Amino acid sequence: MSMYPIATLSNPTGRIDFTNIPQTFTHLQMRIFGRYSGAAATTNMPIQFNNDVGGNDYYTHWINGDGASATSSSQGPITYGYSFLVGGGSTANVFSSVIIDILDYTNTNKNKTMRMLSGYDANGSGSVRLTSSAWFSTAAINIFSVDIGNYWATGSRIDLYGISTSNATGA
Amino acid sequence: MPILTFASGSASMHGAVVPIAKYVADGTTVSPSFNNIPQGYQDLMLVASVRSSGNTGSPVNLYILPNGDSSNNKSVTTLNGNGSSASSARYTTSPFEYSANVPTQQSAPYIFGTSTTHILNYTNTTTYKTILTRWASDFSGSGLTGINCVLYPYTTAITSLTAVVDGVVNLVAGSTFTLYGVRSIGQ
Repeated sequence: MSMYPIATLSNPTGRIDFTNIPQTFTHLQMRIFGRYSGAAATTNMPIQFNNDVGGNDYYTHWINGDGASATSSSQGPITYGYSFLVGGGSTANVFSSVIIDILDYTNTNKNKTMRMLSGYDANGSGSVRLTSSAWFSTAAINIFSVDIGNYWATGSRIDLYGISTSNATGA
Repeated sequence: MPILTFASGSASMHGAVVPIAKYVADGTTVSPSFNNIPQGYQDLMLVASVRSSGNTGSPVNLYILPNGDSSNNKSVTTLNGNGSSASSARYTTSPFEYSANVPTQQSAPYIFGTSTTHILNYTNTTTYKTILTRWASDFSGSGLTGINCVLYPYTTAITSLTAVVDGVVNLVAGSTFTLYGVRSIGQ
């Protein structure tokens, strides 16, 4: 298995659309170091594919630890999948780390499932979370969008990678 | 003698994930360190397979110290499952960056704890660092698996990583740490 950088974005602004995603990899991975600049302590970070913004085609399940208890919940169908980011209502200089894996993104016989590891810690508050978000479409993913509006804090960045596998072993 | 091997070859040989160095314990080392970490990558990834030589309980904590800093100002939020229930905890004013649970000599032989730690934006000098770890130990009948989020509350770049287990005892021979750099576009 080898991972290759596809695109990078420092100090993103507005809705982020990674378009024309190469269809030659087996999996995708997005790595986000980000913070929401709005007043809330945390915010959802919506994710959409192929400009599917109006259909209720997304479902999300997660398990979360907030330092005191473990909770699990779900939401859907809604118009986006999502992880979360720490926001301006939390401690200054604290950013979230988010790693999103999308397996078999070019397969046209499968709905797509994102697997997300995300978290932040603000020395007295914080959460760490495992999330799955499903996009109920068998279309190959060629546009990957992340949308928190114009609320990316300075210092945020997004990196998109493609992961290839061996034809011989699948490794 | 423990083995600390630095990778050779160009980054382009390895795609985005580039092996930087590997440490293999021989049973005589307490706290292996990766020093002078190259500053040319976007993220770091540390993969560990560890067992403690201690006999004080099982499992015990594995800690990672960025920049050798053991002052009491770290914080970690954890989520774990033990086979019957899930729980979460937070440890503040900690001298160490809690990374994972690993077995000791009280555990059945040949069992090692595993963890993968992601340190995003480790060279950044304007933000604190948020470190994610996914880890697991299974003892056949008991075990733990979890994820941790650690705050390293400094804007300094991370240039070294040191590992240590509870009790500051030796790592069992065969314990390994492999450090990777994750390249971004243009790196």
